[in-house]
Amino acid sequence: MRARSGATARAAAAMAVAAALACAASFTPRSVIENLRVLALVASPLELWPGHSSVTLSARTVLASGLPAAAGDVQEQWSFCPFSVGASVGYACASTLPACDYRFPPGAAPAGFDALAQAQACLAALGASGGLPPTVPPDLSAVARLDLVFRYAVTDGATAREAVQIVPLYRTAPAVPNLPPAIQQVRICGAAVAANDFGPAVDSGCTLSSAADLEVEVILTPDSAQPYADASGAHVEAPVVSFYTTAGRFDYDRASGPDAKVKLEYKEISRGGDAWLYAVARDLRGGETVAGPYRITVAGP
Amino acid sequence: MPTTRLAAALIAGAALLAAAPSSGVARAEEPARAPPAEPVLAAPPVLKKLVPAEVPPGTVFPAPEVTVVLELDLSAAGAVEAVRLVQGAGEPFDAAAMAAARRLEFEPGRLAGGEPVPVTITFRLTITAPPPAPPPPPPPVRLSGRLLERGTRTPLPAVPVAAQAGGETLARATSGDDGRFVLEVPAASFRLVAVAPGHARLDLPVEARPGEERDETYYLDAEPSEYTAVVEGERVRREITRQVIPAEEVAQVAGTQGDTVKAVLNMPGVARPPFIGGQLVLRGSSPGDSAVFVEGVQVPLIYHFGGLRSTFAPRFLEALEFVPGNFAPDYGRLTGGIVQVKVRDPKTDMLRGEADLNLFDAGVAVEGPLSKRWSAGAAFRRSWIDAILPAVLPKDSALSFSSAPRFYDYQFLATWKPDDRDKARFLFFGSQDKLVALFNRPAGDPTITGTLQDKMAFHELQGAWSHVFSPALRHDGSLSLGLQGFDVSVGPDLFFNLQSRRIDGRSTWSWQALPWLEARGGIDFQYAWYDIRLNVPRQPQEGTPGTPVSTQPRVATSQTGSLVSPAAFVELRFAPAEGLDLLPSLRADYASAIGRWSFDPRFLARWRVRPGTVLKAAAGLYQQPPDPGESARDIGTPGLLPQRSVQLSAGVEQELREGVRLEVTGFHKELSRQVVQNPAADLNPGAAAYLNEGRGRIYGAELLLRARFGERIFGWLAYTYQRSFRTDHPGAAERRFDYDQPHILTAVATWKASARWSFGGRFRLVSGNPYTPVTGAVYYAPTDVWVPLRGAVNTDRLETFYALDLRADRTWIFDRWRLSAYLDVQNVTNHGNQEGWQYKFDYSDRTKLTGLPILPILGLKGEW
Repeated sequence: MRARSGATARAAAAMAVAAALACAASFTPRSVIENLRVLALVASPLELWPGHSSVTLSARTVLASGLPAAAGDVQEQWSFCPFSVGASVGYACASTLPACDYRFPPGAAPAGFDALAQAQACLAALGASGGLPPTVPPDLSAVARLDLVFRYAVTDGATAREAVQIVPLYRTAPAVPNLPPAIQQVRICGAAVAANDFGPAVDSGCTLSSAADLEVEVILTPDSAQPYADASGAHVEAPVVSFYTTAGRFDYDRASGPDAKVKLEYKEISRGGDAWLYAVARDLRGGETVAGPYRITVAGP
Repeated sequence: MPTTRLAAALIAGAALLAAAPSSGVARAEEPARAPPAEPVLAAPPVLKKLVPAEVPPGTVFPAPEVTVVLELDLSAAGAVEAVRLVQGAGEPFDAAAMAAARRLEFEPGRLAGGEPVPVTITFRLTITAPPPAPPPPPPPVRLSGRLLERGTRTPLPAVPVAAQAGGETLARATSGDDGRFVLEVPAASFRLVAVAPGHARLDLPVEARPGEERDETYYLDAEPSEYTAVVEGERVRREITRQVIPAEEVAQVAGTQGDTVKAVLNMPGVARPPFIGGQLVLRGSSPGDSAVFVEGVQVPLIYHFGGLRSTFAPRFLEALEFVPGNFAPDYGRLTGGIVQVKVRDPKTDMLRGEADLNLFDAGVAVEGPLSKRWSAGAAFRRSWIDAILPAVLPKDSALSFSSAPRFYDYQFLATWKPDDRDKARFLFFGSQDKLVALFNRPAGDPTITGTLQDKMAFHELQGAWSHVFSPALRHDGSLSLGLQGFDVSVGPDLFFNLQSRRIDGRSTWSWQALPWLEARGGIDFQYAWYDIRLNVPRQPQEGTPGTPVSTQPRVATSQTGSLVSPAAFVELRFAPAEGLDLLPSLRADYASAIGRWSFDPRFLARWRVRPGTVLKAAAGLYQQPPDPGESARDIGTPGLLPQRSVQLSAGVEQELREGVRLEVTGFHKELSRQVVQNPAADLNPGAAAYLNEGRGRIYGAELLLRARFGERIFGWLAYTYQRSFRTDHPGAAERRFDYDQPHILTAVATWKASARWSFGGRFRLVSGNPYTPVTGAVYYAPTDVWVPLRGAVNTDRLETFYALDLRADRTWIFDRWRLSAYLDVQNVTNHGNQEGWQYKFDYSDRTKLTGLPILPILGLKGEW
């Protein structure tokens, strides 16, 4: 048996190593908020199945200032696609029929949206329009898992962003429903701060200066790492926490849970004042939990 | 007349000359006195004949002259009648003198009237000691010698050797096969002169003792010659384009660091691989459509770690045979081209070896005769990147190695030649690449975290036998057992593990039925048992731009099974006219993975129009079963068809002048039944994962100008114009192939300035690879990655690549070994060649990703 697939896997591994070793270009890291950013698309529930197919989504969008976007700050557009062609084409819909590329009213987020019903409406519309494209399964009941795509487009006039969230639709209820990771505690410069899911900014009381790095720590509850099974067998989630800031540089953009810890360094500071910190915990299966904004004071250069 | 004896007082002298030890010469001297007597003697006797006195050999003379006084009675006729001793000198002088005196002859003494009368005289006979005997000639010097090439100890046969002195040749000889000669020189001081072609003249003074027997070894310095003897004995060409790259010739090509297999990348028809890839892209075909064989056994990996070094060390390489397309029916299951690594037999003259150290690795090799019929060799090489990488890796790197990248490879071989008709060879070789690293933090894609393990190994044991039944019939066969293992994993959830055991067998019969008709046929058998476990993203195929790992659908399976791929082939060679060869052939393959037979007819024609000019053309069908991952149950589509390639080539070979040869070949390939992914399979469980819907077309022309001027200068200029396109699905737009490089120019030159210095250079100018532009990005919230939005596939092109590599070699030659050092500087102009783009996390900005900067590589090699 020739191992072309193996060779490809090796090449991918080699590329990952090379990327890790390569000199990084001087781009602004992903953890630094410079303009409009979508930090998370929070879905509830995280998984659907027949009889349990309504879902609500909300976006966690941050303005260039670093503060959460409020209604009126941005223009938002949500859409739903039950049959997407996948990542290679940016999660484009297999069909442009309105029932298949379903658009929510501008500014309105999916709330209690019956995704299964819309998928079936899409199938019906496709059938009525002359046939199903090959990418669309004719019978949903034959599909063990269908990744439903919710797309979120937002702009503040200067920057436009698009984001997608995948909500799996199972043929039957999963043995252990997926839940988002739970943040037990956030600690900034060694002190615990109050939980904050995109509410008003919480003052951490910490100052970032050249004298010392500022440690940011997110502690997840132990049961945030849920067991699950897929085609390759049983697994346990490995939650990851992404960190964001409007000033300074983190030593790493992300850290693995359950005790995710990074250092905010006094780098690339052009002026002093307030800065905002966020953290987003992910189970990498669609579950997201946001902490922030937290205010810190940045010493002037 | 009375016989009155007159007394004459006569004293005569005689000398005994010492020239001959047994003889003397008597010499008469003047009479001393005449006694008074009557009648009166008017004329005394006069010595007429002197007879030398003979003393025994070895007689010791008390003085240089010995005198004996005798009294002689002379007759009237002058004869000596009586001799009496008057004053002796002792024996043996007295006896010798008396004996000589008896034979003296005189003119008789005469009276006044003239009458002769008897006379008695006193005679002084002087015996002179003979001169000392000349010394005997000195015994000759026996000089046994051996002529060897300095540094390699290679015997130099058939070399004229002479001993000379004063412009005169005293002795001559010619060295035998073992370089030995014997001279018998009748002088102790002389000059030894030997003149061997391609070597410096040997001219040494020799000072020996007379009769001395010497046994010496003489080392002659090899010198690159302005000329080289070329024996044209080309075997039948079964391919329209087959470049044979002698290992010795390319060992010093710049940019290869002495790695012979890398020289293939300088041949026409070969696309330049990216700097981190070791793909073999021949005539616009995908890397997986071409293969490398070591003595007929396909190896899964040609280069360690994506192109650093080849997995078969160059020590035992004889040559590389490179066929970019239209290859012979011996090979199949491929639609691209092949590279055949030819292994030489171990040396039989003496124990030899080498030790090699360079930036990447260190290795040793030994070889030599075991007996008259057996010879064996072994080589081992290990990288030492793992020793230096931790030292240069930044402390805050996202990656830390628990087992830094390391590789090793080995080769053992033994050859048995019982007679001129049989040869058996056993070859055991293998390679392993391994690294274990820890991603300290979630990387750009957070699913890439934890321990990264990459281990790839293969081991092959081959037995080969060839037998010549008669000048017209021969058989070549081989059987190989192989183990292969791939183990790649990232964390606990991403893994690809494949273990396989293989049996490869080949048997080829050649029969020269008639002078104008030759038939060849054989079988090519493969069996593989495999055990595979994987959970990986479905790998994007060629022409499919990548997306973050966490966004790709995964395939998972765990299965064991076996694959059987028997094949048979037959080829005829008609030579209906002088210089014209027509080779029709047919190959039949069965692939158990898809349960299908395929039949590939092929045809080749070569016509030597006139000396130095050959016209050639070929056409053939080439079919290749899908990759096992594409046709395997659970993860692939078992009912796929073999992929097809119809290959056409035509060209001319022209010898422009002695040592300069030009080859121009045009080619066209039509691809069909190419396996492509079915995007519907990710959503529709009833859809096939793969389809035979892909098509392609490839065309171009290759030019190769090779030049060799003696042993001092050689090089080549290779230029390829080629275009390669694909259509992934019916109705889809045709697109460029990932490695569509229209212009590929490579110039290579090496100058051996002397036996100690050589210099080389390589210049490459290659079109940039196509790439797919990014038009935007979508944020993928589940895993916090950005997914690029792409434009039309491969519509943009990277910058043109160019690089100049230079190399200098210095060799120190000692009598019994050689030390070589080389400095191979890649990209001496430090040109930042673009290999791709590096994007900002949200794809809103980008910068060029450049390849290797100027990179000096120093190597040392000792050979004995």
